[in-house]
Amino acid sequence: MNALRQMLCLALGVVPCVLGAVTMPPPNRSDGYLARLLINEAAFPGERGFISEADSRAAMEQVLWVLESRRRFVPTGYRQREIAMIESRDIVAIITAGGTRGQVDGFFRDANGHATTAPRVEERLQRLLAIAKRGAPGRFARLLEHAVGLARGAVREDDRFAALQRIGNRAVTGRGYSWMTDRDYYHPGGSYVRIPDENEGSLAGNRFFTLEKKEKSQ
Amino acid sequence: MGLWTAVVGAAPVVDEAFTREVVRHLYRWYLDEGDVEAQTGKADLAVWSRAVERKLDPGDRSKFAEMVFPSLGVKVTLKKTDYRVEELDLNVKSRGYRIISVVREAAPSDAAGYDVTRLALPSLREYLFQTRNQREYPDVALAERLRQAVRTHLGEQKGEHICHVGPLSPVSNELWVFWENARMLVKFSSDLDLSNPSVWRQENVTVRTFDIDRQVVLSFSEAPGSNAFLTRHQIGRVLYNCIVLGQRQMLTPSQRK
Repeated sequence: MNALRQMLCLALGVVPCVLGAVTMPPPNRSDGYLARLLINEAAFPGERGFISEADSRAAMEQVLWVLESRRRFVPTGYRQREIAMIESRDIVAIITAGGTRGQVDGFFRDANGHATTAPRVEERLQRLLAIAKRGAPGRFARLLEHAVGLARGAVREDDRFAALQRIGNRAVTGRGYSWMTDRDYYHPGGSYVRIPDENEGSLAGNRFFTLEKKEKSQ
Repeated sequence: MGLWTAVVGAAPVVDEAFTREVVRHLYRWYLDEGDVEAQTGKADLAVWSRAVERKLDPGDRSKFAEMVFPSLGVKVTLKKTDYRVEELDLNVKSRGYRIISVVREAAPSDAAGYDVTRLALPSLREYLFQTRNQREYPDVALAERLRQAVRTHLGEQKGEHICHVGPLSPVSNELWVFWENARMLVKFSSDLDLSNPSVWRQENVTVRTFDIDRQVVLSFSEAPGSNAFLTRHQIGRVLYNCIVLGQRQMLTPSQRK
């Protein structure tokens, strides 16, 4: 039965994957889709960008906060469509916003409108799940569990960028509104302001960005 | 609380030869003519370096450093990896410092806390000019691992496939490949040295792909906030390194498993 369940999980993505201590919700559920994003964006041990377990956990939390901020905390002077490319309170809609100009590499809607991922996302996830069940639960298992906990709302961590008011000589809105993976040298465009290292703006291979402060709608 | 803490009084972390390699890496992958022209009339290129500490997992002996190039407005973060992954029964260790981040950032107002090196610009220019086409390619074993990884990652394809493998850098654990038939850029990166067979045996390599027709913008302002794109300038630089400086390789059906 377990073998059949795992086969269904891998092939169809319709039942939760139970591998070792980690239960991964299927990708057709919003918590499963979100957990896949959080896992995809954080470096695991051995991968470029990995610093520590705490750093990768923080990266997952801040990616979630970017989505939450785009969803619920549109700063004064901005419209949600400007920062999220959509007007919606749905987390999956926020992730997949933008159509062909998607917001998150590898996460998009297929021709039928279903939220889906690039094959590499699921391949890496299955590899990480397989590693996590080797021996006693270690960093891999704990990081996967953290992503699932965040996606289910079971884990709540503060937004470490919420109180940012100035970066250099620029007034900023606080909160993170974008992140870019492994491309620190470049800027995401628009009114985004890079959060520097001293404000923990670099986490597990990701650079986070806040927004320039505006006084009123433009 | 800042995650990066300077190590006061630490011994210099990089020597001149390593610094030159970092400059060559920047020259090849990041800098533009404007950066070179901005040095006109200057006698030397100042490089500030220092060890920095991060809070690491228990038993992790990795070391970190940063190099600041004030006249370029560039900061490079380096990591010398040294930790163990129990689940993989693997020691993750690099032979030296490797670049993990390059940022355009104004330098601090002074060099307090940094070791300052000055590279004479005439000889540095000559070095960069002489080595601008220097190429270090994957050896036979690494090339074969790359081919297998490309095949695995890209799945079953029909016919012959042409790949252009970019040159390796002695100061970076990333490698770009241009898959010509699919018009796709493939980026391999790892916390281990790519020449280490464990990277490939354990699949500790991160693979990212970019469709050069679909995932290109002239400016990130066209898709602000998105992390799904490369600029035309970035793609052009990768293509130059893969096609002009890289190695052309054929993947034939008989080679695929």
